[in-house]
Amino acid sequence: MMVGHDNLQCSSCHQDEQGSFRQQLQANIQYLLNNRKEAVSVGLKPVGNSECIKCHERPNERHPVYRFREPKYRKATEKVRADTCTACHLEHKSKRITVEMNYCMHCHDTLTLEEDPIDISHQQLIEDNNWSSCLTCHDYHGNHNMKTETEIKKAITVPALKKYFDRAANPYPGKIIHKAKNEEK
Amino acid sequence: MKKSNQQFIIAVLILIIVIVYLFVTAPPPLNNKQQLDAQLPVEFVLRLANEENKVVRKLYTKDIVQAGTKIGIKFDEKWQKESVVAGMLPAQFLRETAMYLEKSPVRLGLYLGSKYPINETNLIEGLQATEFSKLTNKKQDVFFNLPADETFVFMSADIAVVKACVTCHNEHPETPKADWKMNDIMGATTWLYPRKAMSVNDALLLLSELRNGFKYSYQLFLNEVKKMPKPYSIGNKWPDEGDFVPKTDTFMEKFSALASHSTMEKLLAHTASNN
Repeated sequence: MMVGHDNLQCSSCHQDEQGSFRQQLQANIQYLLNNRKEAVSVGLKPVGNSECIKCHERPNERHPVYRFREPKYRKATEKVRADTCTACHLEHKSKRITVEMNYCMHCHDTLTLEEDPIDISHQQLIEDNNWSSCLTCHDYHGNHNMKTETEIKKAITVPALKKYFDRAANPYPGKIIHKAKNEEK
Repeated sequence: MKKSNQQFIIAVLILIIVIVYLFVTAPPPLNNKQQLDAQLPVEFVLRLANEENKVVRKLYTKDIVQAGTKIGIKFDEKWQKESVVAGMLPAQFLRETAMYLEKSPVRLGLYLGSKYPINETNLIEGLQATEFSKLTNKKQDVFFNLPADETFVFMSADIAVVKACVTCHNEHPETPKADWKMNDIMGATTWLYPRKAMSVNDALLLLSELRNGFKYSYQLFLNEVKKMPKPYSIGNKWPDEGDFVPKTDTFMEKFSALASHSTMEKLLAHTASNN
């Protein structure tokens, strides 16, 4: 299970699909025969964003999933499904994050800053294709009360971040602003 | 009987059992949400949602932001920062509503964009930009669907109807355009829905969740008011009456008084014309 989810019940995230197993199979056969417009899941419904957000709602979310359903992000979401929580946080993998660290490139490849505050410019980092460096200074969800480093060498290292992606402790400085609902108790 | 005949008979029997199991509807077939009672075109429902949104936005802008500023309430685009105690700006009210919708069972998308946005992420691009040009040229809202999938899009012009919007956008240090005038089309509100029609029930659920989103956004504003150094009385009165801020129910009651009649009339007229 994902970090923090070890004590959750299956029903915390998974809900039963409507109907019996036989009804579900029948509905899907009818769907395949073009007699119905919607397929149904068999057994359990897929876990969607709303199930995740019930516990992980964050008022100051920097990359809210709903934004990526806007048509202008279509090309980017073909590369990384930023419109779904499970695209990066695939459950049952024993990891925090299940994508590579370079996903920022799909939206920020044309980034320009008039006054760049860091010692190795963002422009340079992009030219070097050093997309793994983004998350060493920036927290994707904006859920840490931290000051962004201006010297790259003071930032979190990529290996340390990779370990965090797996299961290691949180390397980001500053306290977590919004904890998940079950952590608040 | 030959072995091959036996195998054939067994195969036929299995096939019959599978056909009976999969096609004979001993248990009733599952509801097909898209087909049952889906008589309201999505464009019609999104127009209703947009009208409701316009009403709440105007109410928040004039009666809360404009009137509130006069009694000393601060409004700041950085209102979410821990170090900033201020109310959200009208555009952010919409954004918070959109955030709320993500938690709801309704797959309604709500976005605000412009060709000259202060925040670069709100830039209208691609197909939206093409449709936005049509909108500005014809001065008419546009409805279209995305060719790649069954997503239906309604875009409505955001017209500068309040002086404060024009002033703030013109004076903002990061504005890419500083000559906005009253009645200019400053951008568009975009609505997304993944089906071309919906039932009356689904439409009511959509509108009800949208209103819950307004409520949620307004409550976030009140949470900030409670933190402000100057005490404001939160109750039934409004800022134009003194140091007062309406509580959520009062705000929503006024909203409802302004919006519900029109929404209901349009729903009834549409239902009557289609029966």
